[in-house]
Amino acid sequence: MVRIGILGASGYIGGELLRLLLQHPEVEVTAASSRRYAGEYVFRVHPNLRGMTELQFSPNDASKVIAGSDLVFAALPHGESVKIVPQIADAGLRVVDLSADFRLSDRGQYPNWYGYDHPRADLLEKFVYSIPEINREKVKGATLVSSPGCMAITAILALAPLLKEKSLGIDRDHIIVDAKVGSSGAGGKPSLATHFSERFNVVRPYKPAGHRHSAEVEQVLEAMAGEKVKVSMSAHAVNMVRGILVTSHVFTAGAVKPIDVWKAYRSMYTGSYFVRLVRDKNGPFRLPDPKLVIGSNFCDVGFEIEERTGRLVALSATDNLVKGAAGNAIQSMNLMLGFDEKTGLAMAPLHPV
Amino acid sequence: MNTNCKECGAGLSVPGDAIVGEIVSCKDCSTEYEVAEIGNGSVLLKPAEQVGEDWGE
Repeated sequence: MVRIGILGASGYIGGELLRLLLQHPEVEVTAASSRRYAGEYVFRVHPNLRGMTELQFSPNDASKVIAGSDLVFAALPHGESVKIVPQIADAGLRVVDLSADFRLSDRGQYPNWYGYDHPRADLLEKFVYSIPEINREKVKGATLVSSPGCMAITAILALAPLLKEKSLGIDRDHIIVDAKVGSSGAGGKPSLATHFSERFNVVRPYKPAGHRHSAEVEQVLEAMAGEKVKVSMSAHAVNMVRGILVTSHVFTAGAVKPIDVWKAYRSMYTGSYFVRLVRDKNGPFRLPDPKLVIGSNFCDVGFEIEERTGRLVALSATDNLVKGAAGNAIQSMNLMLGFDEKTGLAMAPLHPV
Repeated sequence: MNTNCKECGAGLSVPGDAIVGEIVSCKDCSTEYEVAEIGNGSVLLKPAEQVGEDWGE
């Protein structure tokens, strides 16, 4: 069994890592750290795990985690991960980081998007930004992996094939990403904005311009397109606990037929179990809906074409805590360790939910 | 008898004992086709009428 340590295990992503890893047949969680809950039983913070583990939270002590783990997941806040993860990376352990601290390969982007100068820019080129459906082979050989932001990966999975397929003639300067996200996307720390009376029933715009995830979406799409792209992103908090729906708008140079778009998606995702193409002519769920991926590692992708305006609407839905965070991170771990990438992740979504 | 969905390009299998007028649908996008002609191992399909999306909202 591969020994797993989780830094920052008391948050929602940490809880989701625990939920999935405790059921994974090839690994054993040996450490789950939390500065706030050190000494407390894991199931008292993540009550869904009662009866599944006797683990207690340990302090965020890198040296102890290094001693007891073969691979470490870091689910720490942005700006905190970069203070601890380098020590683990320098010790030669495998790391999957879920913060933004190692996502951007260009050091110069960090002051712009995250407000700090990166103290270990040497590590940025060593971390592989992991979306297995896009760069599976790179992830297989990686020791250090950075897992994308939840809205970013949901947007990228819908947009990457469109930018890669040159014949679609996508306008690279006008890529609009509109995300709707459930409350768990804001993390487990309560605030007035997340207080039930204030959060319930909202359709609350946040970061309608300048969303941080734009940077990593652009980074991947530029690699797909082979040239600069501009991504305009807006986010909205909506009345869900889990789930993201991203509606992306791109514009094509000429007429595009549905079969051309299907072809672009199939060329990238055929054989990728966790991406499902959803564009159905029947029933109430004709296009991706987060309701149908909750609890799973699936990303559903679909599209519609508005011929009159040359607009191609790409839709994608994920469970923000699974494919948007812990699930993608574990899928990456599976590849790093030579396991089948579906191991421990092949569960069906809940329905109804 | 095998053909391809004209909407999404997926492979579309028409049962060997299909009859004219029968409805077949694509597994990937559920576009429906009516069997228009059958002969010599080939089949001619025409799009069947489907209810468009209108949730009334």
